[in-house]
Amino acid sequence: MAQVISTAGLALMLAGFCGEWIAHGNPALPGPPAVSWSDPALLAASPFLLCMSAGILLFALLPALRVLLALLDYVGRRDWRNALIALIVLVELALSTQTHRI
Amino acid sequence: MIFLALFLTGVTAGVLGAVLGLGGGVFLVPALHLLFDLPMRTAVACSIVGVLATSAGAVAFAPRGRGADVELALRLEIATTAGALAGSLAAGLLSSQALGILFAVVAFFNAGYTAYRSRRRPISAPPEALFTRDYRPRRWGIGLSASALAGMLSGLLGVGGGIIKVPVMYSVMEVPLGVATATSNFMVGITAAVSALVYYLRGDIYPMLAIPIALGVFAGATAGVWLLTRLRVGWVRAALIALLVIMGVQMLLRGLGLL
Repeated sequence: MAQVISTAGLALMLAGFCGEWIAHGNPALPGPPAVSWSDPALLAASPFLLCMSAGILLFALLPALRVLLALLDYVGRRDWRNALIALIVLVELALSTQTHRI
Repeated sequence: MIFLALFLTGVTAGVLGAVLGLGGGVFLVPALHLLFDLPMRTAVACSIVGVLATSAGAVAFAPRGRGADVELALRLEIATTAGALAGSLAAGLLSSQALGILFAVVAFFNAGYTAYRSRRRPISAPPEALFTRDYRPRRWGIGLSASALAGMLSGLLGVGGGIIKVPVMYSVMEVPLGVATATSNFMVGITAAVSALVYYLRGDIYPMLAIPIALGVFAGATAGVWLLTRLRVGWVRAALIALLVIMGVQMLLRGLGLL
């Protein structure tokens, strides 16, 4: 699962980067920032920028997904102690994101 | 041409990051800031995407039996994330100079203890393996405390916690060095994910800069994982000790206001 998502993220980044390069030649750096789901510029963004942004987002979500997969694995094996540990890490990650945003 | 230079910088950081379990940020931030003249904030944002790529490449494509110890990683990650949270809340209470000196003390202690432990090993002992499943992590109290400290320092100083966690897992908790680096790569990905999301939502990540680096780091980390299975323990250990000393000196100079 992690391999599939890594590969998908990589493919999106590569496709978007090559597309942008081909479309604009040598683009001026640093170029536009990555667009997020809450960004008003989302609808006006080029498809290549959307591809690159989605690839980076997949990479950013991958570690949390790995912890979630570990949690599901522990629950499936009824290993409640390690499941609780994985759950605490996920909660801490969510809390950290909120604290950092503040 | 600049894209090729960014890619090659990423490859170098990826190989070193995967072999030493450091994520690669410790090499990427100064390289992007000094060689490519990127503003510090942009360099850190690009480096975080690079650290995610190291973790993705090193963890997802590790050969069977050469991967991270997920149970160990999750237990230590509780302390690391709690430390990072505490660090961000205590940011106003501690000066960055004092933290720099604290980091240097921890780095020098880690380097000294790692060197001491390798010399203390009896000659009659069997050759040390980089990877084995026949081990049991010891001294959890020190390991968890060091992970919390690593989290706090990474939050406050912008350095990855791997530089502290790998030697502590190896020297103090007696985890094989290869397993320690793979586990650290798993952990730095989790820690970097939080920062990456924050930078992403703030609009600080520029894909045209970050992607050549991330692609290079991913390729380098995948090669680094392959290389790690072929290296001798002594080489990896020597590189780790050298890096700890360099980082310690750098942080000490920064703490004393000389850098």
